[in-house]
Amino acid sequence: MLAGDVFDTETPSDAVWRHALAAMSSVQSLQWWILPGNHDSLAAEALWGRVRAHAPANVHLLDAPEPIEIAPRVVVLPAPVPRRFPGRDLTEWMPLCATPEDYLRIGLAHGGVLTFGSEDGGAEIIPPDRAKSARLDYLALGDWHGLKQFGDRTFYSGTPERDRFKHGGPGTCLAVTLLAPGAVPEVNTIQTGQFDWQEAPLPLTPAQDAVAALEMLLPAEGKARRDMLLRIRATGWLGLPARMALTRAAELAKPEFWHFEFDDADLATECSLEDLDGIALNGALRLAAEGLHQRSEDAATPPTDRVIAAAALRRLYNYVQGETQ
Amino acid sequence: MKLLAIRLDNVRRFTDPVEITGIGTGLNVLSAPNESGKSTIVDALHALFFKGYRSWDKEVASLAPHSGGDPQVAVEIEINDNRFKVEKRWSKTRKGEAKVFRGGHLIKQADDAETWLAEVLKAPKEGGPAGLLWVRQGLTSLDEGESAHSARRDLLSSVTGEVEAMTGGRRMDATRDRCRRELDRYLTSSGKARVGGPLKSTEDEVSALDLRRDGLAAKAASLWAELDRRRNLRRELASLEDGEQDSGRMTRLAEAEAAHDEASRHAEALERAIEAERSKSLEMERAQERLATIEAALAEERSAGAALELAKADAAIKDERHRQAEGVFIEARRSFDKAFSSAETASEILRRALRAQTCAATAERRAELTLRLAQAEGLRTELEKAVADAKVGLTDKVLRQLEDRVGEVRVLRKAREIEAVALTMKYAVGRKDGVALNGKPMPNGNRVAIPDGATLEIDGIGHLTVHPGAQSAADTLAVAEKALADALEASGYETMETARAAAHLRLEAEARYRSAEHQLNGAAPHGIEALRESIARLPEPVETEPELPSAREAQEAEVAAKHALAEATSTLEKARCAFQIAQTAAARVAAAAESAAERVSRALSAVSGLQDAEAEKTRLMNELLVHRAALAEAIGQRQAILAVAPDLEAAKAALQRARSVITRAEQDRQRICVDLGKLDTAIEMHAAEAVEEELADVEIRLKAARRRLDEIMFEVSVLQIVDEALESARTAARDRYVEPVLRELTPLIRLLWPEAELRFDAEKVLPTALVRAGTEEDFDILSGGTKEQIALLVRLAFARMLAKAGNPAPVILDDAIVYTDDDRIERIFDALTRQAQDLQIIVFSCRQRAFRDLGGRGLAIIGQESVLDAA
Repeated sequence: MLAGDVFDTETPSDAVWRHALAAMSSVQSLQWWILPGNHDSLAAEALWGRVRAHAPANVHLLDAPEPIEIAPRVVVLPAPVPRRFPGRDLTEWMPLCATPEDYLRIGLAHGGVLTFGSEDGGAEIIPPDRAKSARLDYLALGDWHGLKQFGDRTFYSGTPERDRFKHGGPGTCLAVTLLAPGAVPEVNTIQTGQFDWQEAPLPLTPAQDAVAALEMLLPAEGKARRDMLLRIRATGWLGLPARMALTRAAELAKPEFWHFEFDDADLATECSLEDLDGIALNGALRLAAEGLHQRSEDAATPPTDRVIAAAALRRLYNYVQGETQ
Repeated sequence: MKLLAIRLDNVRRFTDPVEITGIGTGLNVLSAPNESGKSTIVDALHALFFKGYRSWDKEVASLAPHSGGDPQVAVEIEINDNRFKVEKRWSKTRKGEAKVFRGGHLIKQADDAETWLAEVLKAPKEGGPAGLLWVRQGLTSLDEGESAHSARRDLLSSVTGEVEAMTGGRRMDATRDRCRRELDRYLTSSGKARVGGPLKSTEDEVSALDLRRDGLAAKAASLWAELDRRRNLRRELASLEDGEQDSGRMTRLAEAEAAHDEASRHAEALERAIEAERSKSLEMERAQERLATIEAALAEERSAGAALELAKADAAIKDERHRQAEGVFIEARRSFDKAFSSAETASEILRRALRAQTCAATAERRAELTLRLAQAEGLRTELEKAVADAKVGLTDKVLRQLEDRVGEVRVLRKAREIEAVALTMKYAVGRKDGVALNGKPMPNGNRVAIPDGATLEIDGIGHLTVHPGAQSAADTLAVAEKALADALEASGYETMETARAAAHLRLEAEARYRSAEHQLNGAAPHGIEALRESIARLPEPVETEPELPSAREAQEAEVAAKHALAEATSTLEKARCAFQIAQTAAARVAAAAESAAERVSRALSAVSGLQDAEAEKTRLMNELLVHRAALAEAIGQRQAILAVAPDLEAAKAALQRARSVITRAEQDRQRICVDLGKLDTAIEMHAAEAVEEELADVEIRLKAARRRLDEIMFEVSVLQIVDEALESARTAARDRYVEPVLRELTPLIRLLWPEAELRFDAEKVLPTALVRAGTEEDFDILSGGTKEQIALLVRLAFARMLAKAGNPAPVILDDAIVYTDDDRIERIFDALTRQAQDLQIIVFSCRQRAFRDLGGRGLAIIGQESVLDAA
């Protein structure tokens, strides 16, 4: 069951939807039930017209809010999104839809839940107790790109491949086993994604060994690094040499990752007298360094200029150190 | 280092050894004429200190004498109270010698000696001095090449610290280079983004992506708009093709048609009812009309009769009034005529009376005027005569001329008589005559003048002729007499008497003329003609009527008559008016009576045309009642129909609308089908282009490019700040670096140019410009003398610095002040003397006289013998 946004746009290129159908078709053991989401709502007539026309036998489009028996005594209550911003709760009809007592009821919907809003920030909201109010054995939700659970039977499975740091880890899907009507479903996470999105904070103090702290955050070398998208957010304070060493270490590690971001915008530099000595004991270089240091710490200087001055001081240090080494 | 003695052997002209000894602290002067070998000594010294012992270059080779052989130079120096002797010999074979002795012992030789010497001269690592300071002959430039440059730098470093440490030196240069290099990747020297550099290419990328994004967004928007439109069209089509709605439309049409039929039927019924009502109403109107006619005829008959009676009575009254008015009028006319004629008579009488009065008045006047005229005419005759008389007589003027001539003649004649021969006859007693003169007897005893001579007849005796002598007066007299006679003749008078009488007459006539003129003016002031005209103007006299009243009486009578006439006229007019009014009234009444009579006859004839008018009237009144009831019924029927009739217009409109809805639905359906076809094609094409995917992709890339641009901009800012900081730090350091030189130099400079300052290039440690009176002069454009002086002073300043640093070095001046004038030389000497207290200054000069005043210790080149002696 695909809970919406199978396609990111209403008019994907032919290659995209054909590949998708081909991929689904290639796994004949599965039946694919596709629900239109907000990105590929029913308004995408051209898309769904083509999908209908080309869909293999094991791919089914759920384009009407009507119960459908997908297997003996298993009813799916789909809530297809009619247009990008429907402006109302599309699952409202589910509680009113009666099914025989011994049938399993599976809800399939797309959109934000009351408590945390949608990815797109729309106004339409699905009540988090919909599974209970509609007597659903399971409510499969789409829209949120990460894995999220509400109660025993309401889940966002997350996207099969993550696409942002907001939802960490590799992409997943859920294997849900419904044993009997009313029974708590058995939910297992299955990793589908190749790429591992990770964002790691790196709080630092001048006393700390910054390079070691950074290395603690990095996974073992090898495939894990290759398939990882890593963003390090360095915060706190560091001395000039430590800062330089940290930057170098980050630079060194960068090529081993699929993507590596070293965000040190919130990392402040503590510049000690010794650090200035590291640039020059006296003379013009010392003068220049002191001037930059003063500017970076002068409260009267605009913050952007202070940041630039601090960076300039680091650069000067870097130059001089590079020269001496 | 201090120089103590110099020894040359086999150097140029000094083929034999020479020596300069006794060089001490302070000022040493070797003043000798040209060609005495000063320059040779200086060159030899220079070679000793700066040329390796293996060298045989141009400078060294020039030291060898013409006769050949190896030149050899030695000096004695004192360093930190230790005395050393340095000896060098150069050979063409480059196998020279270098030796250093201390206290007579050889301590270094060959390369070791060179190293030792270099150590002495060169600044050691920590604050060592440059050993020597040279000022060459005619030296005006300051820069003496790399070695001097580094020597200066070393010197400064020794004073102010490590030069590199100060200016950042090589590290600074390297750092700046690197910063500049990195900045150059992004920016051009003018601060613009460098073409091909990361900044420019990222900027370009961002703007290109921006453009692309906008294009794609527009495309996507139009695609969405197309999709939306297709959706709407489809929905519309669906609702058009919806069977339920379709049959609804048909039902609505049938209903509208039925309603329309019903309304039409009602409309026809209504039409009929209205028609009936109209005919009933017409019938009733006709009956009403007839009844009204009959009633009117009867009424007319009655009222015409009454009117006739009234008119007749009125006519009688008016006739009577007419007659009365006529009588009054005739009477008034008569009195008027009478008054008129009497007024006429009175007027005539008055006229005549007035005329009589006038005639009486003119008669007197005429008489007076006629009298005056007669007088005037008499006077005029008299006047004319007087004028004529006045014209005849002599004029006063002519008379006076004549009188003058007469007087003259008389005088002349008297004179002639007096002077002329005169005769006096004295008759004898008894005799009374007997002698006649010119026929006349000569009087007794009277003297008779005979100017013209005379012939005396003496009785009896004969004629005695007396001849006049030649008398002068006689001619003059004759002339005068002739003139008088001519004048008389001209005047037309024979004698003077007649002339005089004529003149008198004339005067009288003139008097008369004046009198007559005066009188005439009194009688006829405007001339006789005017007088005559006045008379002619007077009215002709008429016959007077005896019974005429006086003018005054006649006037009064006329006024009265006129008054009466006016009254009569007024009375007549009133009567005439009354008469006319009465006449008109009578005529009108008569006409009214006539028309009343006519009306009566008309009414009578009308009534007589009806057969029993009253009976007809009654019948008609009954009939009218019937008609009225019928009409009321018809109206009731119409209203009843109208009340229940549906609105035909509304029904028609509804029907039309129902029909047009169906037509429109069909048209819409066709149009939508066409539009949908077009849209399908367009969407098919656009969708296949996958605009949205591309847009999403471009947006991601744009975001990334923007971030990259931000990073680059930040990087550029950082580099710029670093560059700026380095630059300003270096400038500040340099200023600090040259500060000690300036401190030493300034007082020296001020000796020559009070208030002047030197600008220093920190890099080369040399002055670049002299600032005097606020004007900066480039060192290169200064005069030779000034340059020379500055060069000298700069070296003195360095020497002072060395001395202060505890490493005094000798300053050697080799004819250093050739361009300097006497005045400046004095001041330079002052400077030298002042410096020489702490320094060793050795001056070589050919200007013996000038340098005599310098003072200091005198040096001399001592020849071989003396050297040997000394040895």
